[in-house]
Amino acid sequence: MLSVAAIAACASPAWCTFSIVAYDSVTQELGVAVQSRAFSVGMAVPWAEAGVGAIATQASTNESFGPMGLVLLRSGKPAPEAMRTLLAADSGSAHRQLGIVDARGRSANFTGKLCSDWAGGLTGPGYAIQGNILAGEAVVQGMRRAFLETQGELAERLLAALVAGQAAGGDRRGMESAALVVVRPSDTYPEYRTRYVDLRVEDHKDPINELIRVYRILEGQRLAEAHIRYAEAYDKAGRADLARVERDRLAESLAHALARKDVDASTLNGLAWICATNSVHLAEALQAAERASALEPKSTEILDTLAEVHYRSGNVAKAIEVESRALSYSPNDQYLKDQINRFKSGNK
Amino acid sequence: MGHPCLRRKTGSSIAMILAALVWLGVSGASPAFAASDRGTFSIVAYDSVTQELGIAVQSKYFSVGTDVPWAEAGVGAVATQARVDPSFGLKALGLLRAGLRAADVLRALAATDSVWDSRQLGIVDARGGVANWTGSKCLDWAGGEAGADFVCQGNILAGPAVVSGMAKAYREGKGEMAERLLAALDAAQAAGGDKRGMQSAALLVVRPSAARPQFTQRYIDLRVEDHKTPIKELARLLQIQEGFHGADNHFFYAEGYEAAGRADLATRERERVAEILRRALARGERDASMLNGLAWACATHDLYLGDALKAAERAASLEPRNVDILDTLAELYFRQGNHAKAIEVESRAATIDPKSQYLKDQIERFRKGGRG
Repeated sequence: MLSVAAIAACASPAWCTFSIVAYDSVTQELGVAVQSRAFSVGMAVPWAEAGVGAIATQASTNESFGPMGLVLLRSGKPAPEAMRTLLAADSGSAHRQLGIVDARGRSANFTGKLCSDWAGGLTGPGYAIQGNILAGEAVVQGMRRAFLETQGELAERLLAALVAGQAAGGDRRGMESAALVVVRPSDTYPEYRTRYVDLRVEDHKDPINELIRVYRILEGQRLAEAHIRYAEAYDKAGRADLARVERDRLAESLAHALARKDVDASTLNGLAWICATNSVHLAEALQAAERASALEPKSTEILDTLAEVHYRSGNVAKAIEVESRALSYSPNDQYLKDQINRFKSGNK
Repeated sequence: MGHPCLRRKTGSSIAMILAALVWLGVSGASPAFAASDRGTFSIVAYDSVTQELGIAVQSKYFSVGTDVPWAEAGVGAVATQARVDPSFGLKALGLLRAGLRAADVLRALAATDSVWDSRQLGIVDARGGVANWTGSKCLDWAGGEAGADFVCQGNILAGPAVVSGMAKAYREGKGEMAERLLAALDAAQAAGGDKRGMQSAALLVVRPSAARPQFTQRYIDLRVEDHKTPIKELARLLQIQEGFHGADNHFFYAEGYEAAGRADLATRERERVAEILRRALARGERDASMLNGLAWACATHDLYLGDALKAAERAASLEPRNVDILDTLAELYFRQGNHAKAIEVESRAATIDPKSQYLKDQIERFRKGGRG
């Protein structure tokens, strides 16, 4: 005869799930990416705080492992010790699966012996990968390979791991939801400590691809802005090397956008504008603005971006021509008139 | 599309010029406004009975849930919008945690902000204190309304009816907070909503619990990041959530209230589950995992077994080879005394997943007639 707890653990909404938690020692980002056959996996599984750690709590999920684990990590316990403390206090640990990485890159994971097959995980410096009710061990191995071989932004590497996990068979029961959380220390923008990247797909037929789709929007907007913010902060702190990494990331975002056939005008416009107003990657920004303008030729907003890129690239005549075209679509727009005057006067 | 450089704290001179134009209130659809002023409507509320704090928000920009809503049980809930500074969320929660009331927090934030005239905020504290603010430079129509235990606010709206409709819907709403918040968003949209349209929405509710500390940060936490009809999508997600987690959560709080000698509140929590069940059956719910979660929660709490059986049967007809659902259905037959049917259904599950020891144990238990 089974205990009630055992019944609930098996048949109640179980989190058949695969996830990765990871740390980037250069940017100090901590992140979690997860996909599951269960609804709204992002509400239950991923927990992270900059300077503290990142946790994925799954299988027959004990969600309290998230906030309690962060408390333990915040008090200075390394990931393996925090994990032991959590599990020691839990009577249902045989049904749990847990992955933790702390803000020094120490990692640990655990798969309870009653987690449904295939269940298991891998750890390495700066990451832990785990899953249950999977097609097989190849899922977590594929995730590790993709994570280690992918370059660039932590979020990109986490997404690559999810894609590889799914390609290797993924969750035996299919897909429903996914989430991506990345946190990052910042004095000036404290919100990044809990929500640097925080994206959800709650209930979708193809959650990983949907997560990538919304991540590409974020990449062209808030993340691009964040890279400029960090670059400036690193410059101020005399860390030109790290500032360069941030600006390179912006160039990568731009390259991703330009490489996509289905990229939308607003993503291109946003990236081009950020590059223009910071006078970086102007050649690529020009391509992006021109493509955006081809997609939406009558958008005065996009024409303004295109004009700004021309202006920043030293092509004043072209800037005035494009902005004048914008003004012809919106003749009462004082901002556009001011822009044209600014281009004429040569002010930055 | 956003031009976020305008929000940088250390901007280039162009950013400053453009920002100055914004502050001067120059109107027009120029890019300067698209970024810094994000048309949004939101409601922030406190329920003194359940001690839930919650926020619902929709906006014509991407992933509004990342920036606008911030909440912590026992502390407060904050919506920061218009020319949004997301750091206001954590700052406000910090001040509330230190014991300031909602109105004091608003004053403290105003005192340190250089563009306060372009901000919009709604704050509710965990004692039901409310405060909201709409800066004079927020784009038309912009404004808010404060109720006894909630605040509504929005900018770049179709008109004042959006906010008054939102307040009315919340005030008159029945049922639990999440549903009332959703009803408020619905009413706001029906009154014209955001002038520029819709893109994303979010619902965040937090609730005190010692045994489940995660609820103090995420009791209900749903996001629609980029969608043509985000409020409808959010409502759809909430319906799934109500079955998938909600029923179990209500039973959990019912037990807590029971233990604390508050039978009245325990009854109220259990009645929520009965309502969720009734509504799911009435609308012909098509999400099998929602129905299954709901049915399983009822089965394991020995409550509403008749409706729960209907829900499980419906789930099984939607996904006839789902072993979890068959197990729930079998459990319900068993709990209602129909042991033969329980064994039959669980045996069907066991033929689908012959390796499962759990299913074998269940069949054995049904044969013996034990409760498990």
